[in-house]
Amino acid sequence: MWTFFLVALRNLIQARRRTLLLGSAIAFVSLLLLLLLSISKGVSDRLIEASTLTSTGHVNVAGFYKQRANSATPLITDREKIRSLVQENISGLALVTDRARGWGRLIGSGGSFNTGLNGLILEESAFLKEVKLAEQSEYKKDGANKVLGKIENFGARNTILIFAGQAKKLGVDVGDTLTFITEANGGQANSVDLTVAAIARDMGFLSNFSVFVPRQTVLDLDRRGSDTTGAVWVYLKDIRRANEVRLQLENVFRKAGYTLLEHDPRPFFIKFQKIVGQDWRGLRLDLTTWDDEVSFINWIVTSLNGLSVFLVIILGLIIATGIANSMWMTVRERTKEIGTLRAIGMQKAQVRTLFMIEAALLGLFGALAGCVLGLVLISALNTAQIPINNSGLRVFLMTDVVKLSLQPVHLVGALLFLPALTALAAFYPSLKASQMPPVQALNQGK
Amino acid sequence: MSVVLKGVIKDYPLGASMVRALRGIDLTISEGEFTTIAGPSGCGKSTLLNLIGCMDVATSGTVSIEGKVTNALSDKEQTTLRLNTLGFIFQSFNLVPVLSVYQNVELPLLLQGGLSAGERSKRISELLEQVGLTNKAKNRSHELSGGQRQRVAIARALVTQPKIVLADEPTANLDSETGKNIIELMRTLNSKQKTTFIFSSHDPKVIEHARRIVRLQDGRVIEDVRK
Ligand SMILES: Nc1ncnc2c1ncn2[C@@H]1O[C@H](COP(=O)(O)OP(=O)(O)OP(=O)(O)O)[C@@H](O)[C@H]1O
Ligand SMILES: [Mg+2]
Repeated sequence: MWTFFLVALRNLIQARRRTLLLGSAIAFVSLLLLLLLSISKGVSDRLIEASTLTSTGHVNVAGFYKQRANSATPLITDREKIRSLVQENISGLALVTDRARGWGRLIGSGGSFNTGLNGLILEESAFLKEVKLAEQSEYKKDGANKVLGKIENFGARNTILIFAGQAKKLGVDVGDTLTFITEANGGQANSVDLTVAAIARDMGFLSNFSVFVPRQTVLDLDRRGSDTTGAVWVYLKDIRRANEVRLQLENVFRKAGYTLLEHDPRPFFIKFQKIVGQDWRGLRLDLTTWDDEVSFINWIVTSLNGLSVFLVIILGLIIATGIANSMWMTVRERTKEIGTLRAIGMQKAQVRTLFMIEAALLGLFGALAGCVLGLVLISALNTAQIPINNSGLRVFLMTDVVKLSLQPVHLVGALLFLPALTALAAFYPSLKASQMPPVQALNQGK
Repeated sequence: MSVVLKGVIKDYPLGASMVRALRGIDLTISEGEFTTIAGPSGCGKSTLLNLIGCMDVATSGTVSIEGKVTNALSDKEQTTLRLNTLGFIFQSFNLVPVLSVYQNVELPLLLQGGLSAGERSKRISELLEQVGLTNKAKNRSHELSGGQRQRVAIARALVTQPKIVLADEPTANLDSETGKNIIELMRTLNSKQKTTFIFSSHDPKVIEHARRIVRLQDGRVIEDVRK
């Protein structure tokens, strides 16, 4: 077997030009493959990052309260009890917090929109620790390249934190006042004036869907009791356990006497209409995981992956054609050698193996080169912190600087996939080589 | 009996018709014989050697190697027979260009498997010494002269200790002095071991070295003499 590798290797060296040409093409494809994979993974990592900061915990204990038919409030009572049930029954917790939720219209001097209101518990909010504030120029024409507000200013009574894109729509700056009006079920609208304490950098798609106020502001607005909240958010040390923990919690709450809604992997605001139409009264809990809550933007990741797969298939086909062609040439050039090998006792299958090893080695070298280039390029891109200036792109990529996530499994994948592809592409020429009658093969070389 | 041919006919398709290359050959070659197949170009020498060498199948008649009729063997069985029982020497040497002299000679042993690296090395060194190429073991074939290449090919053919060595015009690509040396080397190896040698040639100077001369013309044996 070693000799087969040696023969294959030396033949690759012999056909230097062809090897270099094809090798570079394979290297290029593996580089592209890694780039696509790391962009895809980068986007989905950013999506997890952004969503678990702004709009969901790893696991959420939310629910709906129905006072009468044809109504529903996304609200749970027993806040303290639910939080301690989680604390007592779940291991591997990183943090348990909760968010009060409101829904209404936010009005500024330059515009308005409907939005969800997030009531934060300041000292428990990872979001407040991680959030980056926007420079004035990001939301205001001819604005200064300077951050105006301070995150510490947020938290006082009736302060609000919004994103740059929202500030632009509302036509407001730090220090300005906004009015929030709820659409209360009874037809009676409550309202509150809110001072813009800080304006955060957009975090992609998700920054369109919420604004942030202190918890008490939400409770006051709807005159809710302090033992209510919108949802208890559970953060785990390992996000991969999310679904397992959700199932555990279902049992915990059932045992504790709560009624649970059937699991529906969609965000709460999409379920709202469905619940309104149902015929029951009181509180029902609704347990979801982070990916249920962001399922409505999963299409971004899905379509990125789809695009990657499509590109890789096309490029793979091109590479395969190139390899197959080159193997035909090799087989033709080495017909006499094949005849000789067959004459001195090499079996058909061994001839096939010989040529396929050659192609696989070529694939491996190309992939290795591509991986090294990819590693260098991707770490260079990440280090350079290249800003994304196109706001449309920012929305999709969920980040304001280029951030790619290269996984070791991607490298291993490329190193396995490309040699397998090239070996497969070489199969037919190798088969033909092995099937040549030895006498004919010997004579052709003469 | 090493090789037995009975009523061997070989037709080649040529366009819509057939060319009869061998027209009924009966031939017996015993173990240890040093035989030349002689005759003018196109008389069927290569065809005959290919049939004996299990590289091709007769249109009718039978070919037996070491008592085994080869006509009905599968490709795999024929290949195994070539590997273990036969050795081949070619007109244009046919060494694997990317392998060294040593690796070329080692190749059939590796295909056979079974011998340890040490055993292989011992056998190859002995053979390279016999063909006078000990100091060229690490060279590639393009660094050798024609005579040296053919000696590597002889070592490769003998390394598996085959019963029969077949050589189709082994000296045709060599000058007559070198050709003579090659035939003498084959002769020496033939008398040392009891390997059967069958080689073809149309060169009278080469033919005179043979112990037995089988002359072909138009696909028939016209003369069979032993010296
Ligand atoms: N593959 C083939 N297809 C058709 N005809 C063939 C084929 N091989 C050989 N022949 C014919 O068979 C006859 C014998 O050919 P062969 O090659 O055995 O002769 P040879 O004695 O080896 O000649 P040379 O000294 O030129 O090598 C010739 O007439 C040749 O044209
Ligand atoms: Mg011939």
